Amino acid sequence: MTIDLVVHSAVGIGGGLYLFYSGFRELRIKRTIENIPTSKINTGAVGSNVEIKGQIDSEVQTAIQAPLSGKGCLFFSIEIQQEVRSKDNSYWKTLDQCYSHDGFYLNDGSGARALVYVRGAEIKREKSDKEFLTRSNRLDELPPSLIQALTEHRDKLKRFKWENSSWLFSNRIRFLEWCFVSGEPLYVLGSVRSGFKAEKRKKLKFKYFLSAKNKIEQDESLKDRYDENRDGNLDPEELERGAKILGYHHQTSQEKEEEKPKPAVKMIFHHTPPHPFIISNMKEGTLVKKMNWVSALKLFGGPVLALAGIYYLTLNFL
Amino acid sequence: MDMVFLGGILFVLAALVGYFFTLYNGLVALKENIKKAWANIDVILKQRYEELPKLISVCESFAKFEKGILDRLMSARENYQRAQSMGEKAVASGQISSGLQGLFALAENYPELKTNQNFMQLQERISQLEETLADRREFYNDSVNNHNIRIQQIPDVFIANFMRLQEVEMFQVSEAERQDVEIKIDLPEF
Repeated sequence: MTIDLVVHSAVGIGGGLYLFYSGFRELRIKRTIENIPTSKINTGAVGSNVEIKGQIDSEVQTAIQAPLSGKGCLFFSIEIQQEVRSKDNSYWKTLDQCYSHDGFYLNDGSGARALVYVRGAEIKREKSDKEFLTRSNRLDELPPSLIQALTEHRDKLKRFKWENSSWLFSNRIRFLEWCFVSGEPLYVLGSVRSGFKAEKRKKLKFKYFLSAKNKIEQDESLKDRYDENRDGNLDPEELERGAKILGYHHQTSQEKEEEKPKPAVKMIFHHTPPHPFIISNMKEGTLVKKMNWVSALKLFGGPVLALAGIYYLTLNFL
Repeated sequence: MDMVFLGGILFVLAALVGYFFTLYNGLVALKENIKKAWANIDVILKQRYEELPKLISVCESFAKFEKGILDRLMSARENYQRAQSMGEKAVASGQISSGLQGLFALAENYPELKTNQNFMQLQERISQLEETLADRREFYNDSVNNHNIRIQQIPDVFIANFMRLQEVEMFQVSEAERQDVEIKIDLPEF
């Protein structure tokens, strides 16, 4: 009984102190989010603590199916947790996490895209989309789509042993899934390095130049427009310059209709400790409100827990 | 019970000290964010400053081109070179932006110049810089706004007073930039 009490009290004190520290960390990140204005991907500066808001870009990534929910999405994550039980309580311990891709693209409509590498990021979502519960002695009975996803990312699973344990020592295992669907609005705060340069202005294609030249030659009003020296006669130089202007105009408008040019990648987000790296599908205001509550709970709950631990210790030993 | 009471007092003290540090560091970060945002504007101003002589020399190679606008642009560039403070640089930047608006609008009247490859490239480059500048100015003003609000809010105001933080001015559009560009263009009648 005494040893149990000491262990519980020590866990309470340790946990309380950790919660207290973690509350301050949450508060600091919340203030960072509030203090940093949103940058535009195309023109924002790179460095630490860059905030962007945009939609997950479906133009460059093909849709995939999330293994548990079966949702059509562009990016998914599977978190594998194991239940750890003691005499009185139990909790879920994360063993591993794997993602469908290393990252995803975000587009904020400013004319460029950001590439977000997810590893190391703090993902703040309202809740996980789907979960699957099993036991460690029944790992061969997983749904086929989950088996396929885990097989594809097996090399990234370091702590999860994908083999059946004996029935006697089996634990509960939980698979949590969340995913980002096409066009989902996301908030990202993190360190940024520069992406590739913007696409250069395209050269005038000869066919557009030629068709513009023919058009000017046949159209009196166009001849008049490009007659620079106003002598009533369109010189070959004037015709060439006019054909260049008109041809380029036709080419750009034609190309805009035919293909939507893909915006360049201007920002690359990646995990750079000790700077915060946050990805959330909540609006900035909602995220800040949630962090406010979480930090307040931790800042008050932590000391209460630690003091309760101290109280039980002193009650029995002093 | 004494231990719990002592522990409680320690936690309250730690919370107060921790909160003070959080607020203090937050205000320092806000102040430095403004400096960083300005430095990011300055980089673009410098890049634009370096592109101007090339643009002016291309325009000068066209004998017919109106010299007045080029002289105004050169003088604005010299003002920027002489500018030391943030405010002076902002004013000179406004003069350059206004001069460039005038120059590009006037260039519409010179088809020969408009089709010149060098001019086209410079125009595109400067337009990109102008666009970046506008966005970064907006970002700078947001940073200033956050700072100015924070230093007046409770409880930050007490620490801001202790740190002697003062309101920072926004980067506003200059009078020259606000004015419409006046250009005489002799367009052929259709």
